[in-house]
Amino acid sequence: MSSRLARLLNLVPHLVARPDGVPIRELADDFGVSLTQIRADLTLLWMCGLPGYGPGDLIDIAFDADTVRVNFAAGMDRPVRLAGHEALALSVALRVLADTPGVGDRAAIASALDKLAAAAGREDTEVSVRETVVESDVERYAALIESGKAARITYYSAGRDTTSERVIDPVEVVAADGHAYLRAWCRTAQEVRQFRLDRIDACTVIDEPAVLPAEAAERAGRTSTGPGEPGPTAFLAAELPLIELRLSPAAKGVVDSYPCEEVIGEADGYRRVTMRVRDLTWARRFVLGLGGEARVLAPEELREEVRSAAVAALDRYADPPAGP
Amino acid sequence: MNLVLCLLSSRRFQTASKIARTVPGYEHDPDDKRAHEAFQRKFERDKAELRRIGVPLQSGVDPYYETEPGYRIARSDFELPQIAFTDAEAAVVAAAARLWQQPELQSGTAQALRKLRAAGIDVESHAAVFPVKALPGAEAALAPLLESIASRRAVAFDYLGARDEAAQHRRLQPWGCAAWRGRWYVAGYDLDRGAQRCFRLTRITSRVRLHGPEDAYAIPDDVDVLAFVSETEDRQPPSRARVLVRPRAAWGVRRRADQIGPRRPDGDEVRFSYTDAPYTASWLASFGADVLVLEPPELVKETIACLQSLAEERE
Repeated sequence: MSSRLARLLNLVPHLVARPDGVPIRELADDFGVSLTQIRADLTLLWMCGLPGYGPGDLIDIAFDADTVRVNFAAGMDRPVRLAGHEALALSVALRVLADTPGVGDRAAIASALDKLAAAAGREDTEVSVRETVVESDVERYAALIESGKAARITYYSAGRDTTSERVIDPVEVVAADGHAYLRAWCRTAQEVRQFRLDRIDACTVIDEPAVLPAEAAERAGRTSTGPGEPGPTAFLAAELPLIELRLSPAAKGVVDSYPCEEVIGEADGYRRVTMRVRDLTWARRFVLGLGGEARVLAPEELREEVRSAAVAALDRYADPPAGP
Repeated sequence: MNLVLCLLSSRRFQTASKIARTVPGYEHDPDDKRAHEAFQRKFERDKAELRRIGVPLQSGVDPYYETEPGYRIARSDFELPQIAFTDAEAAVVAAAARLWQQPELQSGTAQALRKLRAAGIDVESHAAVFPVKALPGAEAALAPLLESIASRRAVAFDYLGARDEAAQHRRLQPWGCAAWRGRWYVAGYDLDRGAQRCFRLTRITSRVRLHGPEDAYAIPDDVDVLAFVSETEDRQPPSRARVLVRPRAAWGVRRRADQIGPRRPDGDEVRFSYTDAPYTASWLASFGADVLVLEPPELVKETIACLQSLAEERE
């Protein structure tokens, strides 16, 4: 919520902190508003001041060519201290960083937290963060990325239940939902993939530079702040098969973790979702792993595969093998 | 704006009627009932907005001059204290400000950065690209809970516990949040149960609504949300599972095993430890007929229940 009052309260000290003046266009950009708006703000400030409201009591702002400076601030020399929710949003984010290996220097995070606590006039001790990722070798992969080299990895794919060897060009490590993922261009698959670090069984650095095809670099979005795609269906093409599931409330996590084409809420917290999957073999394992919290609505083929796989497994319990 | 300057300029409490007389924008005839009510509504709205921005309004009665309560802003509480960041600190603050995906938290960090910039500190010019990116989870419940903790207001939400059939309405005075193993939790005093409870944010099924006044409760000094959460979640000691996997199949189960063998003609026996039985059962079910759970009986039962639910696949 960015109110005009919040902006006005920042505007005067902003100019006080820059006694040489600020070009008006730059001022508008700094505050993310139009030139017209910033002019209106400055005109309004001109009419604000101390009780009495005589010539010597009002805020005095001077325009010199296109440069704005403040001559009299009526006591508004400093911005308002950080509100509780502002300080908390920032300090919780810093605590997340402090607990994630490879994100900036920890001593700097700790001292920045102390300084912010002083700036907010309070210490936020109500939020703590621990074990952001279970993998202990994040630093190793961070170093691999810094080295700019390609690597050969042996990777266990849970979606296929197989282990394979691939050559990859690392992009970054993403820490999300308790795990660390290596985001990389997979030369074998010819697309950007995410590899969960605890499923990388071996990793050897290759003595050649990591290269990312241009369009892949754009999609990998090194600077993007979008949500992670931890699922194996992260990179989708329109020709991939569509499946339709009905999820019980307990399977809500699926909607958060996998990109869905469509999500329709139903009564009692049930959801109908449509998603694209690499292939139906993957989809079968995925639905089986949801332990009955998902029903397959389409395609019929997948519904039958899930059902017969479950029936085949149940048959083994009905007819248990002899003991060891 | 004039209200802020007026309250900031005096050490004495300013009463509402005096503010109405002196501050432009509030002038009205106090004897005109409708005009006076309009003033009071506007004044209340403005006070709420000031608090939201972080302006600390004090209220009290000036014993020598007035009988009616008044307001003031103490300069020392109002102003952002002097602050300076090293380049490394500025870089991590800039990274922290970009972490959130929740709009309310994004706007909170953006407002904080704007205040810092107004004080002459531009952390964004020190922004750096780190090889590791943290995604702290996009739970919509986090923002209102943090706001509730910052203002000590109670919250209400619907919650689907691990063993609940349907979501239940809960009212809570939150003490703190914790992220543990990539999951967010909130702990506090449950107003309906009359006891300390913790909740996993992904299991909150409704919006989190703040209700009641600010500063409605105090957070106990010795509360350690993280310890409480990890104890609650880790309460069961790990169990040992023994399963039979078909030859050259179910590699995921083999990878997890700390003991493989003996080998039998119909497969290999593997053993591993687990704590979360429902989760482990659905994971084992995903291997279909390649895996047969032998022990313990609870896990066999859970796995069969998963498979039965999957086998009854019809609408």
